[in-house]
Amino acid sequence: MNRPSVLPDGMKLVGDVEGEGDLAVLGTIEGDVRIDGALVVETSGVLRGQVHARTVIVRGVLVGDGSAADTVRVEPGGRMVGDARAPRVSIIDGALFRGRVEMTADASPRVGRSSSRRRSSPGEISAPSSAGLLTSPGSHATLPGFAPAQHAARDTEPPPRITVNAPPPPLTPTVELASPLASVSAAPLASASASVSATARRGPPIPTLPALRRTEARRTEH
Amino acid sequence: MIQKTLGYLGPGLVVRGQISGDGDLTIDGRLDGQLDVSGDVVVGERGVVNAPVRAGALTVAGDVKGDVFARGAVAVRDGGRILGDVRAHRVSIDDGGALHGGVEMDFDLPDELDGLLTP
Repeated sequence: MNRPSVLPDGMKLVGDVEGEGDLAVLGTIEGDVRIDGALVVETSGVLRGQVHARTVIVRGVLVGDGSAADTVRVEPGGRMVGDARAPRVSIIDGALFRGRVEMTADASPRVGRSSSRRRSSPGEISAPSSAGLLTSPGSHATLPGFAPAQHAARDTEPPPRITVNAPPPPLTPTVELASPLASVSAAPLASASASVSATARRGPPIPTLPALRRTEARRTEH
Repeated sequence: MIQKTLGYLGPGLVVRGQISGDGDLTIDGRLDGQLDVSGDVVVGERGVVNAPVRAGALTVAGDVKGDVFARGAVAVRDGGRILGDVRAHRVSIDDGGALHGGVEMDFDLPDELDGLLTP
């Protein structure tokens, strides 16, 4: 696609940025950013303002709320003060963060679900997804593969649940599946199986009734 | 700095505000506001700048609306357009380029003509 936009080190932008494409910030922005691509605040970058992008990656400093249609990720060395709102929010070990984490259920970040608050628990902060994912502003080609996989996981019943539901006391294995530890070990795989575990860890453990699929059980809580 | 990152505003990107500082910048998007950088600025074919511009050098293949001050050279390429006064060390307008406004270059006349222009 198009070459990503770059605000270089030593340059300062006071004002708002909006439009299409990716943006890498190595300098300083004071103002709001709203783009449809990836926003990367690099190590030398400083951004003070509200941001919205498809993906927000913080390796430098972000002071302000960050919302994303896909992912907000604060990487080691990155500092963020503000609320992070996205379907997937990662605060990787070594990153500094002050604010609220809201993992929205769907891709529309403006819609506040009643369940999104309940889902903001420390256990949900996920490990780095795939190591090479979005290390550079233009390399987000892996992301589109992510979304359909997750849809598939949501719509069809994942195999583990079938086996788990088969024995009479099904609760314990389900809970273990939903624990963060399970997702950490599975997270480095950017594959369908990783997405399955990603949906599994999405909320606090919900008891699975043998006769009811888990997704249905969750819906009844609303 | 040994390797300077090149600044770039891609097409489809709109900036409303002021960009300042060191380094070079290429604009294929749109800037409304003010531009003041020490390095070289290129306004690409798709670039639109509605702003007074201060730069080391300026190359315009797109659209610039605003007064320009450059320490180095200002070049208007084919298809490029500047609406505003230009003050620079050197100014050139290619065939197909347009400039509506004053041009002031910085140079000396031979001594015997020096008094003619400044009475």
